Amino acid sequence: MEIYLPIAGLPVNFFILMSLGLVVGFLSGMFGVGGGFLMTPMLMLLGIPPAVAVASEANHILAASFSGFLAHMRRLNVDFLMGFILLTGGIIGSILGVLLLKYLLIIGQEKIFISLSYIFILIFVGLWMLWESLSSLKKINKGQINKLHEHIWLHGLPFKIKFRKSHLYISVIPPICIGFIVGILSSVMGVGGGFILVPAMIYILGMPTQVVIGTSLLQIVFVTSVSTIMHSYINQTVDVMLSSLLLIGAVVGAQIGTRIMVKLKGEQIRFLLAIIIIIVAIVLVGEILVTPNEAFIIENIKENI
Amino acid sequence: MKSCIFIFLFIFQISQSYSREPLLTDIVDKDINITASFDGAKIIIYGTIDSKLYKDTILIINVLGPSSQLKIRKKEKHFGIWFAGNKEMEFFKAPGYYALSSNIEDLDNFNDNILKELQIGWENLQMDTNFSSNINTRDNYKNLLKIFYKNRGLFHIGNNINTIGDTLFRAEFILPAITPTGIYSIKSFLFNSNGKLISTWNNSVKVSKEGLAEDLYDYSIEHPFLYGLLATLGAIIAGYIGSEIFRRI
Repeated sequence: MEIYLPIAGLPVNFFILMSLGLVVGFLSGMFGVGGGFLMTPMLMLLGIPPAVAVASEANHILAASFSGFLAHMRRLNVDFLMGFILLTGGIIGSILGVLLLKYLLIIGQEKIFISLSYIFILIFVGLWMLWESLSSLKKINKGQINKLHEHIWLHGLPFKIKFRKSHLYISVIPPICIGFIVGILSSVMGVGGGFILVPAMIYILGMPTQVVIGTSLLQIVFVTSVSTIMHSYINQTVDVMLSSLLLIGAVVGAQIGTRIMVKLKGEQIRFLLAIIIIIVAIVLVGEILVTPNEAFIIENIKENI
Repeated sequence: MKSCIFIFLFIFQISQSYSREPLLTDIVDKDINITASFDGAKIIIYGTIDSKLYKDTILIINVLGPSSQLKIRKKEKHFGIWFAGNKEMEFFKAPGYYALSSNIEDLDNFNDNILKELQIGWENLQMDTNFSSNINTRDNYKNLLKIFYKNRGLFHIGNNINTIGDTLFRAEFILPAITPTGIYSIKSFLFNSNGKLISTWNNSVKVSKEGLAEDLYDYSIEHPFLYGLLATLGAIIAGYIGSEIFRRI
């Protein structure tokens, strides 16, 4: 059954979209990540224009992360003050990201830019996770325990604030900068940014692990909201047909994934995820190196004349 | 069934008002509506040739989709990676769909000047470029557009005009889901066996898209900010419903 995606401007098989949502939802439930960094490249491989894939995926992530955010809020695992400070940077970053994409669309380089960004980030994150999971697997065998994080110089910058929930007294500059970077990534790459935000909050800000996920989801909810509105307003690239179809598969997949996750060890999960990330990166590298079967771009300037 | 009734009415109509036109054509469905869950529509054309006057005629039907202004840009390889390059050409009047059908094997033996004059064939179609000085360059870009259309089912060339008896003929043109909306013009040409033009006939078909997909598209263009706001709101509600459902399971 073919479904016509109005903004992407092409028909896509309904069952392919459903199973894609299901598989990525399953992986995101299993690994505790948003799944945007897997979904966006997959959509691009399906032939959906990269700018549409990115914007629609931001809308899809919004729904998924809002659902997760509510769950964490009920357990009071959200540092609202930290969340709103991350957000100030995040919103500015996401608006800038949309404008950057607008410029890339005008000069016609958005596809290669999005692909290259993905390749760099996926290879970096994939290798880092691989190395980290392998070394912690070794450590477990040796019986060592990871040391808790200490204060670093970044925390001593001006404009210090007390974060009661996180038991921190640090400068607002590092969280604003982290939020800003994640905001740009969110708009340009169609990711929530959890895979950068979570390690940054733990290792750079030194937040306690139990509030990290809920707080990062708060930031993701707001940033993807801004991205969705801005992408629609400036680039008209949000395909709600696409994002809602993905959502159905993703919600179901995430629940199955979460249940399987309980049976695996953290290091094994990270090792598996690292392998998946590296495979996606290799496929994307192939995409930009192989001679395209259409070595040209067609832009529609004016219709019906 | 609809087609059968149509043929019947059509024959009836021409036998009633026999006007001695060498060529007459009509379209089954002049208003083609494309819906969201659609995998193709057809333009079906019927017609008659006055077989008493002409034998062994050559018939050519050309379907042209609504025109638009296009820019074609070549990709270039730098450091082994494909980028969008600087070489480009604009066509001010390029049809969004192209089909050419005839009742002979190919048009190779045809007089080139006649085809050129009537703009029959992709090579002979005028598309108004921004620099027309070099014909080779222009043809090169035109060929890229042809490949683009072919890959998307927007370009058809064939000899699939079916003749029914001596006088009646029928041809079908497949429209893919992505076909542009607007007025399609259908030009029929009748030649004698020596390649001399006897008669032409023009029809038009209106292709429109309807349903949720088209409404969404229109809304996203007309009210981009509200569309974004509603998309955001929809996602939040979906997230809320999802969390409520799975809290109970």
